[in-house]
Amino acid sequence: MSPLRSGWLTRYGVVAAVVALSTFAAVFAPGFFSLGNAATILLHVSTNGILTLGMTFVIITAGIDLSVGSLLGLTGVLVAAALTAPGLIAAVGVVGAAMVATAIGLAAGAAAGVANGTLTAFLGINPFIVTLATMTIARGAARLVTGGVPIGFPPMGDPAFQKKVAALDALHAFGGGRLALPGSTSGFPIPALVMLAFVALGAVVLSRTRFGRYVYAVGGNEEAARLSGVPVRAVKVGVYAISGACAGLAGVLITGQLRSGGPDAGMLYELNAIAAAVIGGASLMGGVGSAWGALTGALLIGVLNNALDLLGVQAFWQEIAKGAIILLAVLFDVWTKKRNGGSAHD
Amino acid sequence: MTKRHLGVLGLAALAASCGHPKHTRPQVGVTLLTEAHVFYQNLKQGLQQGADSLGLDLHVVAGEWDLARQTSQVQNFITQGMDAIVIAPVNSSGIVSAIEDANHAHIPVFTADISADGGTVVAHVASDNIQGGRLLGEYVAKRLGGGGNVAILDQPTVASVRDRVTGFTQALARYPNIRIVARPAVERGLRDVAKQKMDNLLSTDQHIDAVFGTNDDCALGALAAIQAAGAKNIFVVGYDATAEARTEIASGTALVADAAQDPVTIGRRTAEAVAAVLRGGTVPAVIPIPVGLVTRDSLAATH
Repeated sequence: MSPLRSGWLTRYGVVAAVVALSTFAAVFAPGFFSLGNAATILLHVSTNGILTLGMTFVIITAGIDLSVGSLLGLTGVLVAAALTAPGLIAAVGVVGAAMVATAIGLAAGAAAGVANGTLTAFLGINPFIVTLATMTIARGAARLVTGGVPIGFPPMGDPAFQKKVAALDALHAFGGGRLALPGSTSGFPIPALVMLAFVALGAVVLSRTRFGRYVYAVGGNEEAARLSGVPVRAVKVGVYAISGACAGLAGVLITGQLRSGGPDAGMLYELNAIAAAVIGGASLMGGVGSAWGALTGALLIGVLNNALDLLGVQAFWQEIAKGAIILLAVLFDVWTKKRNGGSAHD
Repeated sequence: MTKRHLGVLGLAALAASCGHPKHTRPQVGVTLLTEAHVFYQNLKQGLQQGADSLGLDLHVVAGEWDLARQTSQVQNFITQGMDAIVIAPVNSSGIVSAIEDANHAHIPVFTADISADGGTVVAHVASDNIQGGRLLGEYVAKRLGGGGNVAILDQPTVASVRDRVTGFTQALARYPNIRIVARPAVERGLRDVAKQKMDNLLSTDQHIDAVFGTNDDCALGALAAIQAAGAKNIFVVGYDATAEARTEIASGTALVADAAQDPVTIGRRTAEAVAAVLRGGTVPAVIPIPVGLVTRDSLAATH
């Protein structure tokens, strides 16, 4: 194989897999090939896509963030609690409450991320352990805040019933809203638009900014990066803050979409995000990965979930198929990179 | 005093506290599946009510979905010399060895809500989930006028849900014109997963008239998908009748009915069974607690 072709495979292998899977599904799965279903897939991918984007930043620095699923749950219940607080609605109105709740979700996620990054960078604790601990703490906090009960539609007879529902509806316009799309009755889901915007932003940050170059430098060779003047600790705090903020954003969108914040929401989502990041070409050894890769990795999982559902494949087979695809994607990656003459994580 | 001395002292204190002090009231160890769920919070409340009126002391912990943790909790109860142990198992088959440990220690074991596959259990107190499923099946059949397409948002790995679905399908089997056309599994019964499964069902050409959400998160997830798609002429029935579900039913959404378990009564009847056995009486091996139906009409009648 010529170096040129194998380079193409390395770069676009996962895109090719998404296209191949979509073609297969379009032929065999009734209802797959339509604008409406494409919008549905993007909506379903948006949560994992946003988590994967943040996770990719962390993985490029050779780190890991196990806390994102729990942070999604925690920020979700904080958003729902803020949204249904009668005092807040009275002070700033329902749309204002939705905006404040969104800000709280993003800030809480970012703050938790800063804590992850600080513990990792300044105390030198392994990020796997740090984020394992914060994963557990965040889940406990989410259950504590809610007493284990989802915060959503107020009970009947609640004196502020109308206002709370209006506030939930205001956030629903963001997390569950759709923009009119020519040729489609269902429209384009706003969470998918948010995901695409943030992936584009992430791509610019990673490839066109000094911070982005630092992120790769830290993951490529931390010692060399430090010696050449890269502020390694600040960069690490930065990537965990980005990952936490992404978890907060996903928490806001899910709470808006469902009009409810559940303490158990997002359970094990960190694993889906890691899988998507790796499928998208990020290396757990650090130094390799991209924002568009994060999107394609999340898309591959999303298209697979959707196609298997539309085909009516039994749930247990779906799990086996998903695991196999993850293994195949990584094997393929290793194989193309070896053919390319580089190491598995060049 | 050296650190080592302190450590030895600490161990001695620990050993003293783990001894078998004589209590005047019967001591009952309770390990729940989780405390992070309204159902178990209500069950715990019922247990406590029963225990208070019958003079039992409860020690309540929860496995939080972790079988190993629940097993060690049962072992702790054995070490503490509890007079009886109540378990709401994390997993029906996995809890058997812990129950056998309690059997060897001659401590009577009771199960609540979820049954165990083995070991000696004095009594099992739980909702009659087959009856609950049948109740919903009859309701759906009546509302469909005896014909239509039904989807089930299933959780095939959960034993109590299997009973609900068995009762539901038994009831529908008597209507040849009602077909079950889809039965996707909802991982961990989560609401956002249920919404995605329902989104996908609505994307297909398959016409669906009614949806059975096998818990309220499934039902509310299906409702969110139906509302987002603006789908008409489709209704949802759920299971558990949580506060959120009751609100939706009362406000006339596509969620029209719910099977309501009675966790408070499950808890109270469990405490009653424990007290009866500790006084030397006997109780039936299975104590079924009836499941009721919540509809807009029944909610209006109680308010």
